[in-house]
Amino acid sequence: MSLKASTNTYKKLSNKEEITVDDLRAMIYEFKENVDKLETALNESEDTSKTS
Amino acid sequence: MNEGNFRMNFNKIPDPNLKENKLEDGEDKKVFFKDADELLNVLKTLPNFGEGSKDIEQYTKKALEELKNDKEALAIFKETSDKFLELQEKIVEKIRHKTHMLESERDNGYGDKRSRRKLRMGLHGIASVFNSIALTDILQRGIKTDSETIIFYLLPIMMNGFAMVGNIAMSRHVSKKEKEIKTTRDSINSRNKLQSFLEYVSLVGSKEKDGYSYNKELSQKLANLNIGENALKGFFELHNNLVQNESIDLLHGLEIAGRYANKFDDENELKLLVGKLIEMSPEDKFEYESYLENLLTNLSENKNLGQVDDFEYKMLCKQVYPPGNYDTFEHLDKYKDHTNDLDKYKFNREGMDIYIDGMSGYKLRDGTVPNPEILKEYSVRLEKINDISRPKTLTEFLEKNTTTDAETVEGKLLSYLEQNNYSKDAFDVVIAYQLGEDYAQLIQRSQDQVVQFEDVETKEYIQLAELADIYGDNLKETIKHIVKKIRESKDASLFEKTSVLSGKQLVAGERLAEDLKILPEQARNNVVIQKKVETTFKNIFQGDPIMLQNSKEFSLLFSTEDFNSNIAELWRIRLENVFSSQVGNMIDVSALQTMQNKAFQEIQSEAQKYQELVEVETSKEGPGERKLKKLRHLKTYFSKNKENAHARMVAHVCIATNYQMLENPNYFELVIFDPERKRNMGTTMLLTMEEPDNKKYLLYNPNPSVGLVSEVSAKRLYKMMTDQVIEFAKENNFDGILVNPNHGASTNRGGLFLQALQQSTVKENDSDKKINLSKEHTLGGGYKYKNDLSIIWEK
Repeated sequence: MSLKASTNTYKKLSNKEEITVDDLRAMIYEFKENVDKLETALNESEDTSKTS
Repeated sequence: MNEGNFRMNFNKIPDPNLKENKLEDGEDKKVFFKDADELLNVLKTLPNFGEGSKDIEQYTKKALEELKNDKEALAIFKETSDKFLELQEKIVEKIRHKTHMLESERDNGYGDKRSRRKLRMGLHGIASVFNSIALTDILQRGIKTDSETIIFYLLPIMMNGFAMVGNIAMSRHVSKKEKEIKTTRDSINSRNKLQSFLEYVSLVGSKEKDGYSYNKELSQKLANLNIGENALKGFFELHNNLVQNESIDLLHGLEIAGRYANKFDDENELKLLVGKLIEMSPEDKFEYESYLENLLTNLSENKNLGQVDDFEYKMLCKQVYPPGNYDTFEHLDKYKDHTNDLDKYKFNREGMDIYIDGMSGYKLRDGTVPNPEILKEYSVRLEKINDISRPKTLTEFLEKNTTTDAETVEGKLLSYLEQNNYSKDAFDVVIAYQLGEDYAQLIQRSQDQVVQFEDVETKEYIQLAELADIYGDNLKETIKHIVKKIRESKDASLFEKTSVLSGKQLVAGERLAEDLKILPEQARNNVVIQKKVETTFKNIFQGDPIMLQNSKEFSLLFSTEDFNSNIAELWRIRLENVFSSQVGNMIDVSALQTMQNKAFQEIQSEAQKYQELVEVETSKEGPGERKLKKLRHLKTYFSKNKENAHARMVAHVCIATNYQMLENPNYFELVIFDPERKRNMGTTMLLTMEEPDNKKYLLYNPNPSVGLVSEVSAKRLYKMMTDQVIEFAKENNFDGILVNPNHGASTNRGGLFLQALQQSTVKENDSDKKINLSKEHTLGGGYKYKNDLSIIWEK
């Protein structure tokens, strides 16, 4: 769940005084991870819709 | 730096009625922004973004500057953004497809179970895609600006945006769902309501935690929709736990629970099921679902369930035998498998088939003139009943219109009846009490059917048939229930002096039990036990001539087999069963039953002016021709297994809760199932009546469910069921099939079903050929048969 994950990051960050470059890096990697997951999910759902 | 604002804005839930939102799906997505400032300005107009956005830039500025030097991270970001954009079209298409599917499922009234599952999957699809559409929008609007700007603005925006836009999208969906639930509120039964609710919860359950404050509010609104109150209370407890623990697994568990627990009248049941489900892996859950589905199929094929947990047993039974007015689930521990009682009969143990067409409609018989006043009068009365039929509204009504010290609703009702001299209006309040929560379902079924037909006459007949069902019940069990409730409560003292059955009378069985216990084995026979019962009865009701008339009759309820049971308990139960509804001093039973009978006769004679339309099979529809409705397949079984005990409830017969009648080895049923819907469709109660002259008769009490009777040709259904019973009687050497053709004595179905029954009896000189038996035969409760029985078939 990309939203859930990002939201967690957000929560973590929103408690900080300032966002650091490491936080941003973490977000980028998280973003990549989520998009990959999304891609997989989309492909999977495509398979399901074909069989149903 | 304004960190406080930044956080606050996220936690605030946006206005769900948002109209100005620029991120509305379907809006022109081709509009790109000239520069990042413009993008930011647009985003700032969004609620929830608000003030906090001013500080985003500052808040992240230093980090972003540093990030510019990290070429690897930037490359990944660029690559990912591009990839995401590629996926965009796919996502949008998916959402459209799923939304469309969702809508069409909804328009079709949720369809069957399979389409409901699809609907749920659709919702899940939307739920997961929601997450990304927010991002899509942001990326799409910003992507054409130069990459540095994207990074500078997009990352923090994404950060906030994920949450923010997700929230907006979700609340918009939720408000849409809420509206949907509201508009369909009156047209879905409680199961579907609960289903919608669960779907909804599963949807938001896959969202993050912060969306819940709004959703909880909605949940509470839903809770007020009069869905099984305790159940939802339990449900909310779970719901709150989920919110705290963010357990998506639990939500999925609930969802499955929702599908199987037909009515959450027992919180523990639900908790047990969910408890079982959360322990499971997704694969196990899937397997468990098919396991339940298989059991369900078995049950609807009248097979044994085998070893299952108690809560599973109850939940599956409720699915196949949906709980109704006379709740047989109250006595679940009292039922046994009595299949052996049928060992002596010859019949097809695999069950029999009935194929029957759906109903085409009804029309007035030639030469009959409808009396519109009847329909009008009862429709008005029904509306009033509707206003007060829910437990809460009934209590309010009684409190407002009665002066009484009674605390229970039954006590108040009794006071109300007395204070209004058993008027017609007061009678309707008893009907409202009787219908209770069943009312909504009853009305819904009627409405569903009425809308299926366009012609006025069919609509009128269906309404009359429903009215006949509502006013057709002889109230015996309801009266008994009222008396029982009053007696068990503090209100008993208010009505005590007029109550016939005293505590002393009820415990007299203890003395009797002691007397019987000391009897030697050889003296334990019918004559002795009946004699003892009669003597005890006479002693205890000394000075009450009305009750004394019943002493002999009451003693016949006891037999040798009872020596092995708890006699004191049997005495109490039987005394209550037989006499509590005749406690004339407490409730004026005859006044109520006279009104009920009058109402029923008026409605029934009106309904009998109609006839079923004969279906015309046509290859193509032309004017005046009717398309053949879908063929219904039903399965019937001569049977008496443990679960069949609930069929009488589906059949809506007042002795459904009488579990003692199942102990009679001469009693059995012809139960009806719809294999496709996996539902019981009522039953035919049968009683073998052996006479001293060695003649053997079968007592016939056909009670297919109200729904079934109105969905198919009632007359043909009657014929087909009766033919099966005649075949059985022939095979098993019966001398005849007997029936008491009066409404309520053999069948509670009115309208054309009752008419078909009354027309099917053997005639002699234009009236029913009658038969008097030499012995009285008890079906159950106060239902005894001896004289004046009509003949359906004779050898």
